[in-house]
Amino acid sequence: MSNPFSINGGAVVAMVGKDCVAIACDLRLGMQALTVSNDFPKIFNYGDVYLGLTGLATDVTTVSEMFRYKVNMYRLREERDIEPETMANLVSSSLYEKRFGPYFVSPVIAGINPHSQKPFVCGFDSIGCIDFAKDFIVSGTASDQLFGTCESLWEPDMEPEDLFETISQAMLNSVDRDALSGWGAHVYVITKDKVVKRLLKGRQD
Amino acid sequence: MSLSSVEPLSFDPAYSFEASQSRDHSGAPRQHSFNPYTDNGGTILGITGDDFVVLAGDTRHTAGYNINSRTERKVYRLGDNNLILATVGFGADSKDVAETMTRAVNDFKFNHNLKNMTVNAAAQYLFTVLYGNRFFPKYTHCILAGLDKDGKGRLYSYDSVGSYSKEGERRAAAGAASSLIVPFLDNQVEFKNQYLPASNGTQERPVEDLPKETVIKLVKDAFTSATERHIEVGDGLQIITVTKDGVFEEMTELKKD
Repeated sequence: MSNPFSINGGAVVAMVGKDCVAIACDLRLGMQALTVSNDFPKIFNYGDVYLGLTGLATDVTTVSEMFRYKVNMYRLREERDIEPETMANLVSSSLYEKRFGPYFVSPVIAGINPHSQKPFVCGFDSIGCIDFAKDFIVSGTASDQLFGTCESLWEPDMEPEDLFETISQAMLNSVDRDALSGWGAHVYVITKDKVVKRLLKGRQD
Repeated sequence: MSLSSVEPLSFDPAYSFEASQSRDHSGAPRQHSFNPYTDNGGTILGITGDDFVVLAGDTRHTAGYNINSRTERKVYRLGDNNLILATVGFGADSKDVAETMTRAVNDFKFNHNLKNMTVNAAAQYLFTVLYGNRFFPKYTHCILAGLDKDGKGRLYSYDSVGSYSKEGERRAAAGAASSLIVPFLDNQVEFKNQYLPASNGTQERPVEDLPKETVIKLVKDAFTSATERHIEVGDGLQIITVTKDGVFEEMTELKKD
């Protein structure tokens, strides 16, 4: 296992609901089969935008800090918060800058556009190709499992409570079948006037 | 999806013979190789109820990115009794195992005064067949199902060299999209990660036998989802149900793209 994407393990999923979005991540940090930490969240907040990062943990930290810098500079120049769609293009171009020596991360964005109130999710490969999705985005070592659970459990126009239950069940049941992910999860449910963050205990093995 | 997680299926599309290209007479050693296996894709799935059992499989047969057939069934009825077998992996090996089992079940009947082989006996026999090829394995994953002496649904799943659980299983999936289907089954058949609403997350939802209609719905959901996200799954869905009234086959459509 010398694949940099699967050394540390981890899973992220984002889903669209009716006037709401949700994003969830697991908490494990490992070195191959050895678990090093059970408190390593993979979702980062930049104003109205939430960014999930899976892949090589050192790059997860580096990239999240790089976007903290870039989004702060954007806020100072523009005197406003960055919008999810703008963030998507920032992430894309930043990753493509490193086309021939990429960061080993698979980012996911979730947010509600503060002007149009439209829910927005998208995902990327490690060199910045954007995957715009109407339904859900998955990433990480449990992506196969997440594709299966999300494709079966997700339905259009869910209210925030149903969206929370759906994304949580998709996440928990997926990471329970992946040895490199798990140890609890964070779930953010984002609506236009509030964000609810919940900690899921999940299996601790 | 990350670049690296898109691990290409090995697109050596088939079993092959290989010799080094150049015909040099330098006396340098030449390496020849023979690959006797290929993966023909597809997925199978089985769920038991109290007095019935369901086995299902898609009908797509692939070699790399090619589709060889859209109508190749992989769930077999073994003789004219209550036993059914689903096989997935290398198509040729899968068929051979199914034929061997069919022959064994029929021979048993004629050698034992027209008595049918029981499902647990067939399960043990399938182990013998697979383990008999321990050092040149049949590249196939099997799920065997039927009704036992008490009329209860039974399901056994095997790896390619025959290991299986004698207690049987409530549900099993194998093949290309098993990693997509298994966590869904954990959740919807064994109620994993579900808790009783009043218990504040302290009491797990008890596992119960599902009615046949629910099981069929779950099977169809699992396969339509797998078809959506896995290129080796699709075209048609074969569902075989065993009840005390007999063996029934249902064929439905899956997406063909």
